[in-house]
Amino acid sequence: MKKLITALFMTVCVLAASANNNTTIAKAKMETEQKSKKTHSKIIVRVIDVTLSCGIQMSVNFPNSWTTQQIINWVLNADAQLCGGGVGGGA
Amino acid sequence: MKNALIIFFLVMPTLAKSQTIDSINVRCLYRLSYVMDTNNISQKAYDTKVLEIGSRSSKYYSYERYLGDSILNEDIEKGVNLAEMMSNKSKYNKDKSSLIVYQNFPQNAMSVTEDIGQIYLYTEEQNPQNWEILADTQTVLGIHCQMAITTFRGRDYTAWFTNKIPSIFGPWKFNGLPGLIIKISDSQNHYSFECIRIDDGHLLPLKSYSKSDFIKTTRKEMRKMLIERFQNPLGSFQANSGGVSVSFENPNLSIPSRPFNPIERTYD
Repeated sequence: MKKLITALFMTVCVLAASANNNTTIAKAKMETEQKSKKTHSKIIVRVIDVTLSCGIQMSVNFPNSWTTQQIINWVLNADAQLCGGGVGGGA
Repeated sequence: MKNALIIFFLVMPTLAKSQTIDSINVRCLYRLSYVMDTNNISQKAYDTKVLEIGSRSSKYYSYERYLGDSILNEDIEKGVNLAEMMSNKSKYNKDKSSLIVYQNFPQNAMSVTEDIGQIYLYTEEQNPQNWEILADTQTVLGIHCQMAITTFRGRDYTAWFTNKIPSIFGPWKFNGLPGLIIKISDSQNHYSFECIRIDDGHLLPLKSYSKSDFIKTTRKEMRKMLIERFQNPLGSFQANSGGVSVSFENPNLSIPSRPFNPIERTYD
């Protein structure tokens, strides 16, 4: 029983890891520089240098668990918030 | 026990995803126009909104945000590079609200989600507006409509609805009329919703949010966060960075406040 749980747990971990690799942005070619680094706690984070549409430059550490969708949504939100943009006024 | 565990692990991923809460009878597209800055009322912003109506519930969201999300998913599958993905998505998402309103979900309540750096969810009571139905009629989108007026959260609205499409659910948070709202705007014309297309929903699934994806809040707290977003863009951005650490190249960066003209003026 213990073995079954361990096997299932490991399968979930491997699947999660491969999902991250599939959506990794490390290979992406863009104007922002991308690199990965290991923190002391061995959690891998992705560091991206982002230039927003209004010229604001920032270096962002994204948790490795974040998907490409999450990262893109985050950057677009940052652009809307810091460079100005409508959010519908709540409608 | 072994089987139960296997079933649990097989079913677990689907539980985390959105659930079907109803079937879509009618799908309407609305053109929303709104004034962001009351000192410059001639400059309007626009969005296309979808209202999916089921027999028990409805869902209202930005069509262009939806397109942006769909294109992003497609780009990811195709392996498109990140810069192109971002460019493709921003074509649709620029200035479009992430707001989603579920009426009568859960039952007798309204659920509202909005992404302002992090995705928040609040619920409020599903209270219909206090409508006064008048005798005036008008043809909108080729549909014979009747006039109704109401006051809701600090704005006076005039609506044109049709009895030919029975639905108590309207765009955004409007509800309680005996037929579908085809057009509605406030007395200052700051916010205007006009139906531009009506389709059969073909009983497609009306899907809710995934409960695990949201931070729960209240309408009052949401208002505070929205005000903060406009009054103190940088502070609000840092407070809602979602566990992501950010260092700006310019440590003395300051961003001026921006005008905010919320559709809901009262929050009591």
